[in-house]
Amino acid sequence: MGVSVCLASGKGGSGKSTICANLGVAISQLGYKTAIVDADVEGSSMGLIFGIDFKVPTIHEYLSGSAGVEDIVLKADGVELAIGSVRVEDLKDLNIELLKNFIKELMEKYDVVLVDAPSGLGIDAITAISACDAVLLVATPDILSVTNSLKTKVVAERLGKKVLGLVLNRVGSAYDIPTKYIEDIMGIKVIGEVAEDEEVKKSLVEGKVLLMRNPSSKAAKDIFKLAEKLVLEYP
Amino acid sequence: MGKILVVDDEPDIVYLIKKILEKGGHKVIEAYNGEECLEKVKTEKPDLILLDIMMPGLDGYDILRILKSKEDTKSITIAILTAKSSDEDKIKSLDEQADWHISKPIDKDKLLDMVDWLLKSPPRKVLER
Repeated sequence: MGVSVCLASGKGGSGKSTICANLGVAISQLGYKTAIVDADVEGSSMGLIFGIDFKVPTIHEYLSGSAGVEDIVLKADGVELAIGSVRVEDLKDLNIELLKNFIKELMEKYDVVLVDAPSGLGIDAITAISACDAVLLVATPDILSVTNSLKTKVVAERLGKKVLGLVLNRVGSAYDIPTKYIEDIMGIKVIGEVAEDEEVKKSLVEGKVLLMRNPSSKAAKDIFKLAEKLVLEYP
Repeated sequence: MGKILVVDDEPDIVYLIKKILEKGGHKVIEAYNGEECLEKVKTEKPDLILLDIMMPGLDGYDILRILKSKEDTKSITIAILTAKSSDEDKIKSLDEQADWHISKPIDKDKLLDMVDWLLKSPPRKVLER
């Protein structure tokens, strides 16, 4: 039985999905059988990040009851993943509660299941958090993102989830709140810092995962370091 | 170095914080309740306010709302300095648009370090409600 980790953030724009995709690839490169689930059903981006054609079956089909797990799990860049649909009409008749079964089933086959939750604390986000063993928070080092991540942490803990720590993304501005103060107010450790890096945007434009496209970029190295830390500290 | 207004209804705490900040080279002004705080803000124009929450009369959140809603005071950096240290307390401070929340007790080096950072940082943009 594997472990499921929900990547959650209090607000959009933290780069959570990019971290999730690259972290999954990094963990897989470290030898763990890894699956990624795009649970951001109203704002799916995993297909775009991996450069996967949206003609393939998506998690929306599973959540609407028209496909099984095997039908929608794809292979890409060393991981297996369930991408979401970007078509508005696919948002109809979704049963988000099925996400729990989906993740449970994946946990039987994979060492690590990373779940990309929607930002905020709507019902989809709560369901994604509830469906996982643990939560990894992603925030940018600014007051709005930190405040909202603190709210997400409170909710995750109330749901009885282990909060592994906080990943600070897009780090590098003189206006960033220093990491030690973020740890102080959040009451959890910052377990990874990922630099603001133009290479991330280039990867998105090209539809290639940063870790595959430019593994020597600053952000890719930071994410790989985060993956090593996660598998070491939470084997 | 900055001009810092310390607001707390407990004189011992004000004294202690004042000593720490003065050792760090800051000029310290004291206020022991909300009304006195508002008066000192007018006359002294501090760079930073360290504001307690639980005070008789106007509490810290009342003062925060008043100062952050006025054109001439909304750009003063205000950090809540309080014994209320739960996550919910911190969220409340930040939602009320405090620039930061510092939980007591705090050691002197950490306080001086945080004060230096707060004095250097631009105050957050205040959003009208």
